[in-house]
Amino acid sequence: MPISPDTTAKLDDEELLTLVGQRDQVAFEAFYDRYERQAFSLAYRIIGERSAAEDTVQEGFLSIWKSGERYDSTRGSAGAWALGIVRNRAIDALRSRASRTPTLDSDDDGILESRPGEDRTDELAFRRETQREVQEVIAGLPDKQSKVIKLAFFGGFSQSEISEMLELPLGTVKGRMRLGLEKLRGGLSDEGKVTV
Amino acid sequence: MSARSHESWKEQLPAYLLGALSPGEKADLEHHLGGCSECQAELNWLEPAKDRLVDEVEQIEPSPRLKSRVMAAVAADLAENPVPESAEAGEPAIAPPTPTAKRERRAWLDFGQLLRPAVLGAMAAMLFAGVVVGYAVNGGDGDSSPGGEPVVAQTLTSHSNVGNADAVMVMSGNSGTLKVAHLPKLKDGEVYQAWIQKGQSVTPTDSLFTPRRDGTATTSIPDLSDVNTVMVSAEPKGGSEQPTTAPIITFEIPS
Repeated sequence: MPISPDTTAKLDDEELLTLVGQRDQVAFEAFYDRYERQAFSLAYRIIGERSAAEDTVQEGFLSIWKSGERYDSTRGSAGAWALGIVRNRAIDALRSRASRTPTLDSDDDGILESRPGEDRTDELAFRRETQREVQEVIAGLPDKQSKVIKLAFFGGFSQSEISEMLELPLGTVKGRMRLGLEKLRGGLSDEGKVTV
Repeated sequence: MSARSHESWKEQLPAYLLGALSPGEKADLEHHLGGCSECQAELNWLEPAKDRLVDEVEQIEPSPRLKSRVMAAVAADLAENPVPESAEAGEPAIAPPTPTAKRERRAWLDFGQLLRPAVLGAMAAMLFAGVVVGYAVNGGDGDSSPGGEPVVAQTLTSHSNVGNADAVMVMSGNSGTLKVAHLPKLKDGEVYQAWIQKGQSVTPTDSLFTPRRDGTATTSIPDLSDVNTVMVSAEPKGGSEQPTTAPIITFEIPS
């Protein structure tokens, strides 16, 4: 059932998505507002081109609009679900643009470079601080672990592809992913705060 | 049921979280997860680590047009596939599109009649340059709040080239909430003021506001009864009785 706009601010993500599943435009807009920047930033990080990143965000959120009822709260948070949709579409776009499976440059991290945007605002200061702290945690991982994690998450490579590219046994790739994620998880409190 | 060991499923969880499984591997693992509370618990524990990878991404401001594109596509989808009448409360799901350029220009001209002569030249130049480039009705949903209170919700968007200002007006009953992004910075001693137009009469509102550091602002328009147009302009602190600058945001309220 649609709701009044004033009410949307009081609803959590899951409640908004329930309304989106009922084609409530106001609820969708509220949900979109909460994740637009994160979604765009993630897509841009993966694709590296603004207009393609925007296309990806648009496609992803339209998919959410049309399939909001498919969100399953037992499989993680609504925000993670939405960003996962955008991330998967960005990976698809990356592969499509390359017309092939992405490959590594001579510098393994070449395709993973962050591409700073030209549009920055002061309001990002606080978020950058939090981001910096998180980056410190990631930077604190051994290179071998952070590399396989970034290749998978931002590069869109499967564990088998990473195994081939890095000429490592599949079991080693799996192990590095697990150790890296466990350390990353261990460096965060249950509230998601960095505890280093 | 597969004879795979529990540990072999468990070791797939990090790759699953990172999106690094093949479609077949993913489907198999999701099937296993459906019946394995231990793996599900492990997955839930690891998930914040993946979420933090998103936090690692440098935050970049998208184009102000992106939201307009998304909401326009949603409105188009709603127009093509309207909400069933049983889900409504007597109001149209989508407000009919307005003939944008003509109506937008009329609102500006009406507003301009009240401006001080010194402002008119600048305003005319802005109009000539096409300052207001877009206007759309995103939708109007007849509605009841969860508590049963009848409301009418309608969302309008307006875009201006002046500092890339981008605004949404959410109407609920006779009141409206104006949310603006990318507002130009005010000069010292200035505030933004909302104006309402009824017929040919433009009157000030008490809605005075200054943008946040990120250029966003939210203000309320308490009474939109019989209002044709809502506008926002920069005014001296304390507000004005008559507008002294050209509006940077203009909403025409559908009748």
